[in-house]
Amino acid sequence: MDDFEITELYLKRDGTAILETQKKYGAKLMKLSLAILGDRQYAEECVNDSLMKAWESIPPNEPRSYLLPYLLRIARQTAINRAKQLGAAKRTGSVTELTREMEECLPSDADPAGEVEAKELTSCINAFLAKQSKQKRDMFVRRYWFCESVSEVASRFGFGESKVKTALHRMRRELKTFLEEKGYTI
Amino acid sequence: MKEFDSLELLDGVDEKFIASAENTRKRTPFLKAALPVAAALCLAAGALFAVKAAVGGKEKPDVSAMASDKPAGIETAAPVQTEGHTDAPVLTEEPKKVITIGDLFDMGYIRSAGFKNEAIESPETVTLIRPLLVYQGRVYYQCSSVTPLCDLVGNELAVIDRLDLYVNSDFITEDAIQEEGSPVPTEELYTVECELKGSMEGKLYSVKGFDPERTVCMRGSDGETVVFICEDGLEGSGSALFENVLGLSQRLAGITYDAGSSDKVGAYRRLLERYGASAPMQGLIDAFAEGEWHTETRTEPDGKYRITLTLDNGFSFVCRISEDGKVSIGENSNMLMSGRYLQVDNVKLRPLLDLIDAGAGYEYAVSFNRFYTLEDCRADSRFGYLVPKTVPEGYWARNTSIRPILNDDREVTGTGEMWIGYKNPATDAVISIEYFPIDRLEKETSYLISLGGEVVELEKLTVGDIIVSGHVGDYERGFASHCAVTHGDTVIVVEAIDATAEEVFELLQTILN
Repeated sequence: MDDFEITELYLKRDGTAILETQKKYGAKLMKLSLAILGDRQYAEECVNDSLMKAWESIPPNEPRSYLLPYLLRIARQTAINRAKQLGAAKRTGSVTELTREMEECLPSDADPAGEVEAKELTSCINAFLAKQSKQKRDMFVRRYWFCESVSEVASRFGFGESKVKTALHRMRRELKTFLEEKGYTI
Repeated sequence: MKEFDSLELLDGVDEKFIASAENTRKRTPFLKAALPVAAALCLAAGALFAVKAAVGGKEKPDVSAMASDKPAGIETAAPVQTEGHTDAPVLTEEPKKVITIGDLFDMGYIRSAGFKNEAIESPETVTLIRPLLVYQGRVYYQCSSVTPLCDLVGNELAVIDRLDLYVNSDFITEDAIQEEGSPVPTEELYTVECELKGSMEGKLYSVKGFDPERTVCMRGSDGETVVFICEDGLEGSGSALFENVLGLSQRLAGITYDAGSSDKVGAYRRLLERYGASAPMQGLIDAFAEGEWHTETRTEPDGKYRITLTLDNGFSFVCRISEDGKVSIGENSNMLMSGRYLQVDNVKLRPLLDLIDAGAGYEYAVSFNRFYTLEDCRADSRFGYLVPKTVPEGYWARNTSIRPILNDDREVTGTGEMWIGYKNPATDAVISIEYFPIDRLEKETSYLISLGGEVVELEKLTVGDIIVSGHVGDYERGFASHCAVTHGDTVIVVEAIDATAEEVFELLQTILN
């Protein structure tokens, strides 16, 4: 079943929409949730919550042509919220490492809850990513959006880990400079 | 910054970047992937030749080619002959060619990989994942997955053992990452990686009523039929493909289309069911039959219209058609038929495209409650009295939409808004009329006021109250007209494109009286 048909099921309030979504994208949502939460049981709960959120938000949203990114975004937000609730003790080392890397290049006073501010910053980040080559951009997104480990990214792109680390380091440095030029304080 | 803040700040990364990253597949270097295939194919060929030699076969193995360091070459052979298209013959001849991945590139089968392809202007925009298989020396591309609405599967032809490939092209420099300050990479620096994927392995079947030299299928894991088409069979003129191979004039059973250029607002509706659009369909059949292939010189076809043609046996394919009659066949620009387009007579296509332009058969979904037609809207008491009984002569009712106010439990708590869009197909004028509760007067009319307009009562509206303002989008004439009127507890906002003030006034009088 393609994304268009699945979205139509949601719009018709047909309960099989969730089953079809689970069938087609459950594994991808699980992988992302697991990367952030590091615990299979929590990740499963997160996937279920994400599917329910999709059910609640389609309609009014109609993500026919971008269903997977739409679901992944929900799963990511859900997993991060869950990770926050779990507290520092249950946080995975990989997430801590990831956030530390990102803090190198994002404004220290940025507040994700501040809607306008976050939108402006997101827009700058997207502008930065748009300037990158497809491959570098994909690497960056796999690492910092999909929360994949360096070794996973390296394996995915067929490179050595050191090469990936170097590339990501350069991109973080470039992003920092880019944002500073836009007036942000890192 | 709190620990997760930095991750949350990335939430808004553009969907297309997420989708692009999601599509990256684990891969192995090209040679690492290609060599086992070449080796396996060589071994298979060797075994085959050995068996043939043992049983006294007439052909001798090409020892020189097998002994060389190069990948196994292509043994040219006479084309396999088959009988007509209706009895789905089983091909029993043994393979005449041994093909390696490298050969596929040399043969030009992988046209849009940005590799040895002068047509690619911006290789980085062309990344493709293209399922294909090689059978009896021919390359078949997946063109469609058909849900089992009908029994398409014919006779078993062979068992494909990991012969299918996902060819995943990427464009990276020799050093994998473009170094800072290095020159812009050129095509010579690009490498292409391929990876084997076994999801398609299994039995290969003919498709009932189709020549297996051109069309074969496999059973998908979800019960669907996965159809593959051999590009060899699609090289001919429009008629050779659409009539002789596909039998379009006899088999065309339905046309669906995606209205507008954005998938987000698109919806498929069956033109044939709703409009009996046989004449426009005949125009399409004739235009396709007379069409000719041209080499594609653009990276992405600018097809404005996306139409799906369905044959009576369940087979369907997607066409993207541009205003000037360039037709690309395939789900997207990187799949089937990429590298070429069919140039057809756009005058013959025009009746069908006019229907699509007019939104025929296409209706907007209406928020939580769905109303598709004027009649549906009339049935809604909140706006019903304002909905015109008929569409004025000379206009199409392009869209109808009622959007109620919902609470958190998705219960309707207020009137919300209604919108009816009209189109004059003779002039391409579009007139959009929106109805709001009177308490939204200030908000909804602020733009009109900023243009120097005034809100008047409907009964007192004159042509002079309709403000004509600047240029809009890429419309031919491109001027916009605005006005807003009140009527009881409703404010009605009109925005028209390419319609004169007189035309807007006339339409308003017609539909609101």
